Amino acid sequence: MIGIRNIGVHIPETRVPNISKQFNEPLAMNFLKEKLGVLAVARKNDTDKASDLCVLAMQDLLTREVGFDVTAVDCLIVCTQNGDFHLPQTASVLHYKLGVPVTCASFDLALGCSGYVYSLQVAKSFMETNGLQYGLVFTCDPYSEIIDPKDKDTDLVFGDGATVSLLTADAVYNIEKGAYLTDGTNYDYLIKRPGQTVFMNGRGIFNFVMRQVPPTINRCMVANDMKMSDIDLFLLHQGSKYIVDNLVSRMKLDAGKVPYAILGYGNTVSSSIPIMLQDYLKTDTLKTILVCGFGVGLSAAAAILRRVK
Amino acid sequence: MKEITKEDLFKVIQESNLNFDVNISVLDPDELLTTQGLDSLDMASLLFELESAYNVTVSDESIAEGAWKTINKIVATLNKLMANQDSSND
Repeated sequence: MIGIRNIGVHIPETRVPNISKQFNEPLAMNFLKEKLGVLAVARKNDTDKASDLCVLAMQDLLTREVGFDVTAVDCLIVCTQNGDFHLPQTASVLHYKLGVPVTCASFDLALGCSGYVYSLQVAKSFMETNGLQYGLVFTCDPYSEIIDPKDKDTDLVFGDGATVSLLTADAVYNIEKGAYLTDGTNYDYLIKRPGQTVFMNGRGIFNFVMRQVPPTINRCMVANDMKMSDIDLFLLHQGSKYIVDNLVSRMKLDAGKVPYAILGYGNTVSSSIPIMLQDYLKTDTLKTILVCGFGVGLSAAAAILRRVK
Repeated sequence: MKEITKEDLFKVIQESNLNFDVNISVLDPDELLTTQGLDSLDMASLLFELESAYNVTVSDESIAEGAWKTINKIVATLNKLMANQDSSND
């Protein structure tokens, strides 16, 4: 069975403090820290593209998997909606930059905040069906390229980052069944139209998350024949502190099992879950983790990770 | 259908998951809620709770028109929406 063996992370060093930003209404530190939960957002260099951030995440992975042979990679997936170009796929650009073999299957997966969960499921299925050995699942969605710095709703929230998950049979966490939800009727709640910057209907997204994420998580539990009390850790997409706190409250989760991590760098879209997951890979008391991403689409996906090592 | 009052509104808020920094029941009912300690995130969750409690839909247009900006406007808007529901059920 294919599972997650290790994770590399890159969060750009540049952090822009939110309190320094000027909008029509003044910003309160208490609001930024306790409600929004983002004090600073990470920003990549202007000249870096998604593939460059992915290369840096790969460099981090290689410090954790010393001696890993990149020429053994036979599956490369990039989860992004802000790739290097409209075409070709960013996976091909990254394929070139990493020097992986021509026989490596490489493709993009165009999803946002639900993307990591989907990507794990797709990669696992693709690799197991085709007998592949070593897969790299990258996440990188640099929203700094597409948001308006004068738009408080987005500029205070989104940060840049990239991750890579090494998938192989010699895994730490197996990837179990998932549950999925799509609400296409509200596809325009988070949208970037040609020639424009991102528009986000924050209230609409809040409503979607509160209404649809709890039942999606419940369906994931049923699919895996599990109870909520079986879960050691809930890695929920880090949309904002307000979203995570409200999910904890409404689902009556143990807040101690639901980390909040993005105060210093912001919502990194599909990277938010693997950034947190990297921190917990070595904690062998965490046997069962629920991962749940939700957002643009509108889309939600939840899955179970079960520790095998 | 019985008209919704301010007290009904406060009861819904009290019984919900909402946790504001201010006690909404002591606020001026004709002043903007956002100038009395509620921020934009509070407003989003308040409207969500009201949608759930009263089975209504809060439209973006009605928000832009100011229909949810004060306690008294919220009560009036809810009563209007409920009355529209009743007449469409007749």
